[in-house]
Amino acid sequence: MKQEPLLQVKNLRIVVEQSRETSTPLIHGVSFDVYKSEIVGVVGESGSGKSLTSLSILQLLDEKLSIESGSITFGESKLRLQELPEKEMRSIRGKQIAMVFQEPMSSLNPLMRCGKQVDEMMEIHASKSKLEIKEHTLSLFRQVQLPDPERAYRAYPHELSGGQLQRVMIAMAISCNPLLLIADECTTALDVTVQKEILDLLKQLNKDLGISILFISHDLDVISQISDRVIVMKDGRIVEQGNIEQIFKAPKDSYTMRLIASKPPLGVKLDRLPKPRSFETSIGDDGDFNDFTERFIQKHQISATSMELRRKMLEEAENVLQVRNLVKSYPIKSNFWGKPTAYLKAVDNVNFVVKKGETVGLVGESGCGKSTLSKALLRLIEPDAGDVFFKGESVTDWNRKTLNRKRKEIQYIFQDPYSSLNPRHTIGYAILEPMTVHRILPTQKQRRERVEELLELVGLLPEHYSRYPHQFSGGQRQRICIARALSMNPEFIVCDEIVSALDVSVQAQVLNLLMELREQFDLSLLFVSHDLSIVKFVSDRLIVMKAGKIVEYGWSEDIYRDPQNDYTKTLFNAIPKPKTI
Amino acid sequence: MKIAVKNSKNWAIAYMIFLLIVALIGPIFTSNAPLKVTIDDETIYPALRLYMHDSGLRSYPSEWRTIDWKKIENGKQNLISWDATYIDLTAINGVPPGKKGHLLGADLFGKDVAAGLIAGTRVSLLVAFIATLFGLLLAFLLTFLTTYFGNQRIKLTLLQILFLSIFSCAIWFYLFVAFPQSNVSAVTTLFTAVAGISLIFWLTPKIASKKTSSSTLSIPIPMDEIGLKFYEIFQSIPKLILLLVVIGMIQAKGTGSSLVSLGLLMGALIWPVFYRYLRLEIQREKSTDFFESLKNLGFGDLRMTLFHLFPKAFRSIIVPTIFVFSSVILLESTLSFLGLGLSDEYVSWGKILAQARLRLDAWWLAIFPGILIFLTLYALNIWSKAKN
Repeated sequence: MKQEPLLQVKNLRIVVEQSRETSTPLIHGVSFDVYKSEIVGVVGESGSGKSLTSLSILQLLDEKLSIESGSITFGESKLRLQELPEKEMRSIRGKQIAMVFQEPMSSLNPLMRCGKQVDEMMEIHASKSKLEIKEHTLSLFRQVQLPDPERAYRAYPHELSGGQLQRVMIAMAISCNPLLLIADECTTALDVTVQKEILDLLKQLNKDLGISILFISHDLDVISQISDRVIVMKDGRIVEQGNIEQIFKAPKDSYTMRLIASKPPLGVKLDRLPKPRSFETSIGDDGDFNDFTERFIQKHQISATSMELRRKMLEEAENVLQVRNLVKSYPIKSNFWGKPTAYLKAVDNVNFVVKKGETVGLVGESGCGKSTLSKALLRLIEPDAGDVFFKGESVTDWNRKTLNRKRKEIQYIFQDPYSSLNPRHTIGYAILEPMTVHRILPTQKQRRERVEELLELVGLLPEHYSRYPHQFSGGQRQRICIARALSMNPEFIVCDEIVSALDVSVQAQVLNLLMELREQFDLSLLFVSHDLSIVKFVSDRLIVMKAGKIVEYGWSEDIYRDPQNDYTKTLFNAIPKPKTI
Repeated sequence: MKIAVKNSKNWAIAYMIFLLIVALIGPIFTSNAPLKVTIDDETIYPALRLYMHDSGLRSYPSEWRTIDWKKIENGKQNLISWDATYIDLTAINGVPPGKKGHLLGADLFGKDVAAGLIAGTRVSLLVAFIATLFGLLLAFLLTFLTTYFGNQRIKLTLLQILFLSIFSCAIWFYLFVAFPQSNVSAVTTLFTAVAGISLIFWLTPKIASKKTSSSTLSIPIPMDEIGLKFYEIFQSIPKLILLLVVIGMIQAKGTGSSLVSLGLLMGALIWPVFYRYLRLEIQREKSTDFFESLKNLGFGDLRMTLFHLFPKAFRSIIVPTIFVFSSVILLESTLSFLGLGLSDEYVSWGKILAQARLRLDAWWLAIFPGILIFLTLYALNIWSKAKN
């Protein structure tokens, strides 16, 4: 049965005007259809143009951007959206096509009660009495499964959690019974457990109300969970589109393969992830993707015996870092004289050990205290109580001078590499400076040579020495930060969400690099991330944190196979799993 | 609208560059000596030689001093054939523009206005430059000591607090009681002040890095709060009145203030403008990953501030710096107008303007310096607006 598409995008080209004469295309002829009651997933890395496409459907493009050619037709009457006058477009937005954005906090008015904001939407588009509208809003809140609809109706945005706000946003979006819902990265900012709930909710709404959903995400696994059809975008082009099974079982484009295979698999323990080049070379045109992944897994899977050996070796190894009863709390309430009366325990009596050469993964949802803990270890934040021992010496007892001197042995790599590099210094200087401060090598010339070596080691070129951070991509900047950390020959490195801001395929490359360097330099790592699959891929031992406390601590394979704690179980269940494996 | 701002910005910058060139080489063209003269088949450049002599490059032949250049025939007269300080006895009590060879007239002492304005450009810009630079330095120092160290970092025992308060009292005493009585110049006093502040500046990190064991009672010193309160108290004093009092005290001993001391004085007055911006900027920087990443690399306080935090923070105070520069030019003119400015050996725009007060019909003494001051401030304002 072939029905008429609800939304039809044909040969859409979007250009950015740089000056009066020249303009650069950002979207090069994109065509796709969305049918009634269908969930279409759009997947692509940053800069692939997926958000631009969705904004152009609603005619919400920036002033400098314009649709050069192509058509967007919507609905039964085949409205050509880009030719509609602004007034008619306004009645389509919200009423027929609704949108849910990534950041609910910034899309809601902080000075207005959540319920009122949903009411307002209906006041504009529907003619009902105030009482009816309020009733309807409450029923919508029940429909999106907000825990206490009455309370949510009265609450201001800051009084609700991120997941609850996203539910309010969805309630607002479906309030006027739209035909199409565009969800632009609407679960990206949420924790995995909340993400799962929202995805379930969207699926439910799709089934109950028959709304078509255009679901945009960078995460292929999330897309695979929710959508019927997938569109894969890259650099403003659609590289592949098709049914979900088709895309996952037999991807045709090498880029799609890369996206699928770059995510560390949960079921098996690999020693590295596939390189981007290997897809073009070893699969070729007629090769089978599944064959390739199977071969890859066979080749790179860590066998049970070698895992056993490694565990034994690690158990016998000396302690590099030992944490004992570490506490860090923040005052949340204080009395009239400013004396704090209530504390939030961000890190609450934490104990663990990192052995020589070991990688310990630290995982938990946002606000569980994992960043505070990792910073308190290095005294980037001063802990309130407890001890940290680094090779037997008490870190907490070092004075500032010793601490500064010892910093070269314990390094920290930050999530955002751009903000941790000085934009006015060349990257060569950025790596050289700490070496000069800590007098790593005797002469400046040797240090410079070492910097060039390090740049090559992390996959950059020595010529990059005199370039500035803004000339690099996100993945390259993270490599620079890794090189800078390595320049001081540290023994222990804390990696705080170092790949979270990167695209999936870049993530894989950085992780591979980290695995290689770990062996080469015999590093001990504390790998912090919210993404369980990544943490499991890199780490020997795993720490699961919740509300400042360690809820589970042990060998990562064991925890994955047989989680003891209920929270760990829900966490593992919530991870979006690709459909094939 | 946008294009208009862009164009006027170019004009403003061109004007400022022109002013800078005038300040640098202007005196060559305002001189009693001619630009070029041929004596006994030998071509000489007396005005240039005079300029070089004043800059300490080459000496000015003593026999030339006795020559009355105005009577030499085969010479090329200078553009403005008057020294800025030369007193034309025929023009005493002022002549209007164009009379008696004075292009823009002469002032009440018989000095040429055009030459005075050109010489004054150098003085006005230099004073403003010194003041702005000193103000910046003070603001940077204060931000380093207060905001950078923050409210928690410096913890002192009671003994250390006692020592520091005695030490500061000693500095205070030597600065304002002992030194002024021992007849040393204002520059020395200020130098000592800077030295004293630097000493604290040097000592504070030492004390800060000293690990105070938890057994002895140590009190966190809220440095940032102290800095902020100091700023607030300072801001509540009317600036011009404070300056009048201080200058009055200094001038009671001599006549007028020198270029450097007036510059430093004004600098000590304008630091709050920079401090306000810097404090916010450093406070913001301190909460970022950038600050923590520097800490993580084990950098010392000085490296952290001088090479990383302050250069980054300076970006946000470029615009206020331009504003302050223009306001200092105006302040200098105001002080000179009130007769409290530079001593008599300097010529400045404000001083020429001030004479218009003594002879009300001498419009040329008010109009020309007025236009110059107005144009300069206007250009600086446009420039900073375009930078915003």
